[in-house]
Amino acid sequence: MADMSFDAVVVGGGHHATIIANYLQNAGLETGVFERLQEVGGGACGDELPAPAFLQNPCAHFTRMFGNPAYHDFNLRKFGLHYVFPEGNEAMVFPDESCFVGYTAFPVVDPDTGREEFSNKNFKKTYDEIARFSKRDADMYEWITERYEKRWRMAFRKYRYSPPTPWGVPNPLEELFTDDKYGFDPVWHYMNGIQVARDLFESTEMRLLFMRAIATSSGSFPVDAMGVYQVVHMLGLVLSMESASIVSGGTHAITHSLQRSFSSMGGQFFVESEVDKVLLEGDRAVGIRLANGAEIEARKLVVSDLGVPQTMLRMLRDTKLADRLVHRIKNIDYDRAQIFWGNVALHELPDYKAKSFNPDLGEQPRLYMGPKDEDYLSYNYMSEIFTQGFPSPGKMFLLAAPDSIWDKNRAPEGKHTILLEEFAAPLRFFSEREWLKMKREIVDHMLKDWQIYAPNMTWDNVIAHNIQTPLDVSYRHPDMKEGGWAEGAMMLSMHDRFRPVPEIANYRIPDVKNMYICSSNLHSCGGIGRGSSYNCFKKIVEDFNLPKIWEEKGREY
Amino acid sequence: MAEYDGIIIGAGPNGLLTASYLAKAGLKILLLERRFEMGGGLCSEHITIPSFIHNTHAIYMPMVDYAPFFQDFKHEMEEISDLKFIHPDPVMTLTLQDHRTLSVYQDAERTARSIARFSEKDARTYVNAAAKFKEYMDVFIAPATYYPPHPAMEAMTKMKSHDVGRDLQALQPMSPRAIVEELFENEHVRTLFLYASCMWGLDYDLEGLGFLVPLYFNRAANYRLVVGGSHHLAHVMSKLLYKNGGMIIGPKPVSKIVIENGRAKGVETEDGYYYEANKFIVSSLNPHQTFLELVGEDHLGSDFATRINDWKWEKTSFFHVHLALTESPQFKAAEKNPDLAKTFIHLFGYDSYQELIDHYDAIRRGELRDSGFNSCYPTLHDPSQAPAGKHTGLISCHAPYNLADGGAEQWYDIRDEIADQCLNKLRTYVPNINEDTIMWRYITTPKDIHNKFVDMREGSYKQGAYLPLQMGYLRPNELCAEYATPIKDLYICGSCTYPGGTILMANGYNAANRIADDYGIQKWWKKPESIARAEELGLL
Repeated sequence: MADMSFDAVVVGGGHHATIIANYLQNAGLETGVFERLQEVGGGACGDELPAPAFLQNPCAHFTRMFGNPAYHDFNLRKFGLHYVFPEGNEAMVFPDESCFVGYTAFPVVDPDTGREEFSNKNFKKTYDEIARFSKRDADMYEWITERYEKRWRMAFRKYRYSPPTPWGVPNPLEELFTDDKYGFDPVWHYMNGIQVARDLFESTEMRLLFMRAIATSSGSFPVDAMGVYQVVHMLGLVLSMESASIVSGGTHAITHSLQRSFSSMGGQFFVESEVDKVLLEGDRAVGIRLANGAEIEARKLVVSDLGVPQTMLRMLRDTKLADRLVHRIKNIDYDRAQIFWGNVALHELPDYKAKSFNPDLGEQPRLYMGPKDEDYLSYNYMSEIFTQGFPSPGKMFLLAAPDSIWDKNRAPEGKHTILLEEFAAPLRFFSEREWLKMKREIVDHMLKDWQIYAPNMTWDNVIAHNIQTPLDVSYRHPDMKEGGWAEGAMMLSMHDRFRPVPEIANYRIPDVKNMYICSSNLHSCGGIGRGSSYNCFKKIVEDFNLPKIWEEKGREY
Repeated sequence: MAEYDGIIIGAGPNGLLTASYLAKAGLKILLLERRFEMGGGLCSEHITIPSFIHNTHAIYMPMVDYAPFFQDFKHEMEEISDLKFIHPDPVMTLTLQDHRTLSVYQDAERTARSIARFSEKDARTYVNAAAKFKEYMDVFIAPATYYPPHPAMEAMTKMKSHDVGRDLQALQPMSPRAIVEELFENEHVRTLFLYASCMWGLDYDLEGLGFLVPLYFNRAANYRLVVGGSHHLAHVMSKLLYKNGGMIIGPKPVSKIVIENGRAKGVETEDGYYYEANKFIVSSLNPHQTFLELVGEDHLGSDFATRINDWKWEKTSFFHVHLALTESPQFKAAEKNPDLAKTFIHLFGYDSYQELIDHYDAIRRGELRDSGFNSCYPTLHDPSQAPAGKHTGLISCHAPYNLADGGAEQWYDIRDEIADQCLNKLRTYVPNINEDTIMWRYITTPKDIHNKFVDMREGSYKQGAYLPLQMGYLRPNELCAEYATPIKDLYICGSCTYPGGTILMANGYNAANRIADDYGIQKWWKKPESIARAEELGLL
C-alpha cells in the first residue's frame, strides 16, 4: 500500500519540474513533485549573497521566462513574476577606453505578453556604434538583423519549444539552410566560434564580443563548434536584438510563480524528500520510493527532472540497460560551462573610464571587459584557465551584471550588487583545497582587472563577496557534473537529436513504459525557460491523448 | 466581490500563522510579501557553500511544546510534510577557559548535578526553581501566551486569584539580575542564567518585566531545532495555506493601505498593483510601517499617532557568523565532559559574571567589546543540514545597532574584523575551527538585520523593545492591544503585538482568534485545555 498516490509523479523539483508540473496538473492529472533540497526550482534559485539584503542569483541569472509558453499559459505575472526591461543591453569595454554599446533592436513593449516591436532608432544607434569600429561589420549587423527578423527568430523559438526531429528530417533551424533569401549559411553550423567570429566580422572588437559571449550563453569556448542553435542565439544577444530583462526579486521569483500557480491548481510539492528510485512493475513505471522509505504511487506516469546519469543509472538501477547505452551515458561530456560566478556587494557603482567614448556605458545589464587580443581569447585564455585556474593579470574577460540599478529588491537602499563572471576549469582539474583557495583569492584578481576599466573598483568599495567556483556548483547538484552550470556541454555534438545521447533524446525512457525525462540534459539545453519540459509534455500529450494546449492557445509550437 | 476575503501584509511566521487558521476556516487569504522569499525570520539559506543550510535568523525554537498550532494542524502536517524537531540534550552549556562546563539539561536533576560542581546550594535551588517555574509555565505563562492580553488592572486582579499569579506578581518589579542573584550564589551559575534570561534582549537591570525570567529559565531547557532548517516550518504553513485556497505573492512590497470611509479596504503595492479585501486587512509589520507609512497619519487620531511615534526600537541586536566546516568541531573541554559535543547552545567567552555585565553595558554605550557569545553546530544534531561529513556552525553575539564610533553605517567596514575577533575567541574553545577547516563564512551584522527585514528596524528582531510600557496590554499600545486597530477592518499580528517576538507561534494565532470572533467565523480549532483551565482558575 503506497503512502501517497498521484496520477503523475515528478522526480526532482528543479526548474523544469516546476514547469511540467503545471502542464500536467492543468491537463487534469493530479501531480506530486518530490525534491531533495529545501527549495524547489533548481537553478532558478536566489540567495542573500554575499551579505544579507543583497540578493544574488547563484545559478541562473539572465532569464527570459516571458518567452516560455508557461509564462502565458499560466499567467505567471499574476503569481508575482515581474520583469523589467532596461534601456541598456550589451556592452564590452576595452583597456584603450573604447567600448561597444548595444541598443535593443526589438524591445519588449508590453510586459504582460512579452510582445516586442522593432525599434529603428535603436537599430540605427547600434549600427553607428559598430561602425565606429568597422563599417563592414555594421553592414553585417544590418544583414543579420533583416534575416533575424524575417525568419531566424521564429525558427529559433519553434526549434526550442519542439521535440527534436529524427535524423534526416530538418528541424525549424535546419530548414533555414535551404532558404536562399533569409537563410542561414550552413557552413556556420559546422564552424567553431573563432571561425564564425572571423567570417562574420573584421573588427577585433566585434570578434572579441562574439567569442566572449559564446562562453556566457553556451558555456563553450571559442574552439568549440556551436551549431546553428547557439550561433543564432548568440547573435540575438550580442548584437542587442533581444530586450535585456531583469526579474524583479531575482531568478527565484520564477520558481515562486511556477510553484504558486501549480499550488493554486491543487498540485502538491514536497521538499527535503529525496527520491531513491523509480518503482517498476514489469516494464512499467508505477511509482517512486523516497530515501526515507515512503512509497508514492504513480497511477499514470513518472517524469524525471534529473539528468540522464541519475535517471538511468540510479533511479532505474534495477533495470538492465544495454552496455553501449551505459557506456555512452558515462561518457556524456561535462568539460564546458564551468565558471567563477558570484556577487560583490558595493558602496557605489563602477565608474568606467570609457564613458568618455560612450556616456551610456555602465547602464547595461550585461557588460563584458577584456584585452584587445584575439589570439589570447581564442587559445591561451582557455589554456591558462585550465592550467593556472584563472587568466594571467590583465587578461581576464570579466562579465559584470549590475542588476541592482533596475531592481531595488537586490540591495539595501543606496548600495549596489554586481554579478561577476569569469570562466573556470572542470572540477577535476583542481583539488577541493585548491578550489577553496581560489574562491578566497579570485576577488582580488577580479578587482585588479576591473580597475583597469573602472579605477574605483577597489577593496574600499567592497562590502562583501562570494564568488562561487565549480566546487560550489558540485555541492549544489549531482547533475551539474564537473561543477558546470549546464547538465552537459552545449556544443554542436550535444544538441537536439543527440542530446545527451541519441538513445534518450526524445524524453521517453527506452524500454520503460510510462516514464519520461524532462531535464535540461535533453534538448533544448540548459538555461531558464528553455524547452525540455514543454517538449517532454508534448510527448506525454501524445501518449495519453491529453488536450493540446498549444492548439487552444493558437501557438505555432 | 474581490478575489480575497482577507489580505495579510508580510508572510513571516505571524502572517503565515494567521493565514493558516483563517484559510482553513474557509476564508480566501492572500499574503503579500516584500522579500524574495516567504517565511520572514523562519529562513534557512545556502549562504556559504551550496547545500550547507544556515538558519540565518530564527534557529532556537522556543515554544514547540506549548504552541497550539502543532496540535491543531497535527493531521494536516502528517499529510503534507514530515516536520520534525530535535531537542538536543544538554540544551545550553557554559564553557570556561579552564575547561570547566556548566550545563542546562532537559532533566532538572541532571542540570542540578552539573551545577553541583560549582555550588551544592545552587543545585538544590535550581531543582526547586525549575519545578516552580514549570508550574508557572503550565498554569499561567503558556496559556496566557496564546490568549489576548488583559488591561493591566484586570490582569492584576485576575493574577491575585491564584498562588502562581501572586508569585509572578511578586517577581514582576524585579530585574533579571536581581532575580538571578537572589536565587544563586555562584558567579558562573549566575552567568549562565542571567544570559539565558537576557538572551532575547531583555535588559539585565530592567525592572518591571520580572515575570519573563521564569519563562526564559524554563525555556533554557526547551529550545528545539527544526530538522532541515527553520524554513521548513514556513513551508508547512505555506502549504496549509495553498491547500485551503490561499496564496502568497512576492516580491510585492506594499506601499499603502487604502482606507475608505474609515475602513481598510485594500492595499497598493510599490509596483502599481491594487488588491482589495472583502473583509479585512492584517498587517504583520511594525507599528511605524503599518500606521505611519502605510495608513498615514491623516487617518490616525492624534493620541494614537503620538503613541505610535513613541514606539521604541531595541537597543540590543545580533552579530552572527555562519560557518561551513570541513569537519566536526572538536571542543577542548569535551575531554572532561563528553556531553559538550551533544550541546545545542554553547556559551563561550564569559569567564566571569562581571564580563557578561560589562558586555551588556558596552552595548548600551554603542561599543563593541571582545566578549562572549553563544554558538551552535546544527549538523551535530541534524546531519541533513550539510553534505555528508561536513558541518555548519553559528556564532551569535549580542551587539548594538548604532555604534558610538561611526553609527550603524560603520558595520559595513568592520564586519570582517569583528568576525575575526569572534573566531579567534572561538578557537580557544574549539581549536580545529581554523583557516584549514572553514570553507566559507557569512557575516550578519545588526545593520544587515535592519536591511534584510525592514520591519526589524535598527536590528529590532522583536519589532520593538521589551519595556514595561511596550509589553502586555501596552504592546504596541492600549488602542490596538487586542489585534484590532482603531481603523475598522484593519488588524495587526506581528511581534509588536502581545506577547512579543521570537517564534512563539502566538501573535498570529491570537489575531486569528480575534478576527474569527469579529466576523462570526466558525472556529474549527478547539480552545486548548490549558487555557480553559487557566480561565477556570480565574487567571485568564
